[in-house]
Amino acid sequence: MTSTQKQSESDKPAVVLRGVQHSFRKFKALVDINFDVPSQSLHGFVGPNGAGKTTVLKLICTLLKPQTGKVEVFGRDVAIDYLAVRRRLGFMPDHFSMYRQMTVYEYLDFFAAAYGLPVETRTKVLDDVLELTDMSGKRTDLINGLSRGMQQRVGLARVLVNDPDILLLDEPASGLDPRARIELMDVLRALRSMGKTIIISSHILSELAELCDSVTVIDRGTIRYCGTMQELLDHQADYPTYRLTPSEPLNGLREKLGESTGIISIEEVEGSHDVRVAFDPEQIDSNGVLRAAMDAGITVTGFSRAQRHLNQAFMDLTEKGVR
Amino acid sequence: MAVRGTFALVERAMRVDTRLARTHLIRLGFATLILLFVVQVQRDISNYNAPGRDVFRSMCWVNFFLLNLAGVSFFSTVITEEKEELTLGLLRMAGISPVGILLGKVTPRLLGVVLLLSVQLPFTILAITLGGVSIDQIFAAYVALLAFAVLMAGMGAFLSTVCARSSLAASLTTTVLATVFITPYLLRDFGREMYRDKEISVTTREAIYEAAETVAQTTPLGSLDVILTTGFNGNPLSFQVLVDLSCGVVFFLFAWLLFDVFTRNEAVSTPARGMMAMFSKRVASQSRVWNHAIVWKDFNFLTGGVTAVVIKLLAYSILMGAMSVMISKRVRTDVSDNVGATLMASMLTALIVEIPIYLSRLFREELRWQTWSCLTLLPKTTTRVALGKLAGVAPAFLPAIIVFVVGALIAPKFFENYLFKRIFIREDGWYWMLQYLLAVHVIVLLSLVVKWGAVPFGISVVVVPNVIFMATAGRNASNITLATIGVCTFVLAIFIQWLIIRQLKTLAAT
Repeated sequence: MTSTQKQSESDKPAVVLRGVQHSFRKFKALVDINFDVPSQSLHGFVGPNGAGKTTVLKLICTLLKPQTGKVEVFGRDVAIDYLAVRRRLGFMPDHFSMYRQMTVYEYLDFFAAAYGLPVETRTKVLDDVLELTDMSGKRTDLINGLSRGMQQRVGLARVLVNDPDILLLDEPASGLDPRARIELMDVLRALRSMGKTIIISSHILSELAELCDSVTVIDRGTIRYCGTMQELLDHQADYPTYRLTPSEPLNGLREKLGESTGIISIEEVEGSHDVRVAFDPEQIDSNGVLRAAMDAGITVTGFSRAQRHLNQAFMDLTEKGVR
Repeated sequence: MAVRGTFALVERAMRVDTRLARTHLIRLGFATLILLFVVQVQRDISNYNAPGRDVFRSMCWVNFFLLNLAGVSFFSTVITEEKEELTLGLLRMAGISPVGILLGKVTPRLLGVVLLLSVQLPFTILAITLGGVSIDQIFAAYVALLAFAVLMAGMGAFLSTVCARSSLAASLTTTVLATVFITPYLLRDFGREMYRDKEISVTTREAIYEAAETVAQTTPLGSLDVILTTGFNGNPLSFQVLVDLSCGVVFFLFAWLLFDVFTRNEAVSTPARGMMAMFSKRVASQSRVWNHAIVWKDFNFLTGGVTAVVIKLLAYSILMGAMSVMISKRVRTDVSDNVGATLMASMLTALIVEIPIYLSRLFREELRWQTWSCLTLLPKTTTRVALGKLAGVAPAFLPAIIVFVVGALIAPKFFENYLFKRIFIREDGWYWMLQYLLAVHVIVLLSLVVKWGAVPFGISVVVVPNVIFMATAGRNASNITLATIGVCTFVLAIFIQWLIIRQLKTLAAT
């Protein structure tokens, strides 16, 4: 693919899902799914267990054929042009589907050969992916003898051997220790900087919030949110909310501020003496809130738009219980 | 606690068994099969001297055949399946003792076999009314078969306790059964030859014959013949029954005794590297994957690679060489024809056995280790991946083919006049080849849906209808009838091929 073609593709969404529905017998796994994943972005895919995340990933990677609707990868329909899509895509499933009787090098060499890479190219590619995943020293080890974290690295190296434009990673950090998780996230950042589009499904929300440019929240087979991570964290249910930091803990701060017109709610932030102030924008603006605080005799050392933690956003957007 | 654990295991297994439609379908199929025997005999009743006995004889042999299949697949996996699923440790942690686990696992399977035999009872009564068989014979035959089932269960418990994998346990069961069945014939042959060469006296020959008869009477293969002779009035607790029950119990006791030794360390369930283990890591890292990567993978990891091919070729050559020497000593004329014919017949048999065994593992191993979805994500169609896998397995058949070709070169006339014409010119040769093709397809399809027993079940699915056909309408079937059935078989095989590809696509997404 030429650089011009790549440039024109980078302007379009890498993945597009329109009106996708999928059922397993009578169970409706996906109901009218619509979302786009921008090209060269790191896109988080979150949802409770059984929400339909893996089904969506399997539809994108051509393992499942959409029953209704359309799934496109770089403008190609996965139901029709599935071989071309597979050439540009790497999927790492949530289970360890590996030939564990092979050595690391045999395993990667096998997939490189299966993707049609000639033997001269393979040597260079394998050296590169082994270095990127920091597995060069383990090339002659049997996969079976590797730790879970290392097996995960080998799995990641495997999806990179054909130099895919899109990586689909289903729960890549599950079961990894904190060090292995952090190292994995570093590798993902490096891959993003290389211009890869990465779709990552995970339950570790704090890391997703830090890592992802955009996010899709799915629950009970329907999309609850799709957009930038920033918008999701900024987004409040009804009213704008600001976080106010007084210079010292103050008794009666809630009462003092609560008397001001337009203030809807004041909540203490757990673990600090900060408060979250929600207000009605039709009656008061953020400057008004700050002025009211100062008028009440509070020395303010910090005042900024409050962000939800992704955990909170997740809880707000998804429903309790399993379906 | 042990008793409670055993009951819990038995109850669970029976509940699962009852919920499965497959269980009831097998029983229904079995009852239908026997009904067909009865209808056939009733239709041609004038041709039979003892129609009831003939019906019952057919039923007994079908039972015996199925008990052997059960021994190889159903009983030989009782403990190995827990080892492979890594659930044996959980059972031990639940406080169930070794004997509790063994009883809990073996009893439901034995009960399943007993239930299958009990389905036939109403029809055996029909056999009595048809005439030629007495209630004593029926009773004695069922006791013989049940004792054999106990032997199968005991042997299965023992072999699956000491073996790490189901495949090894099944192979050992097959070897033991084949040895027991073949030994009487080999002993008789040995005695006859030695006596002819004046190496032994009449008394020694008779002693060898006696030993052969004793071994033959340890399985229903020998005892059923005696039971089904007209005027049988023997004790149902025959020598075979006592030997089989005793051996079954002894096997079970050994399984119990050795249970801790062979199950203490729960090995991590992992695919075998096979003959590739013979290479050092250094060699492995230097050797490169072929451009046809799937062919490379299956050739090396499913069939054992070049090492396995060479070892198999040597083993076949040594075995066939020894047989050739024996034949050249025994036969005075046409030695080369006899040697060549033996080589060809033996290798043809080896191929007939090897092909379904390898093909049943072709996709099973990928599904077992959850690697199939990764293969299907390659930019290749499912058919192309499947063909690549087939090509990877094909070199495993080279040793048998090479020895067969040597046989054909030694006896070209026999090959041309007998084997080639019989297989490729005569209609029944084509008929049986197509039946084999169908059986192989059924085995591959079954290997995608059942965990174990695809080979015996696949063979039964094709062999049993053929046995019925040949025992009934097929006896006088014209060549046109055979050709029509052959064409239908071919179409059915193609349809199953389509089902296999469809199932493979479905399994990739699960």
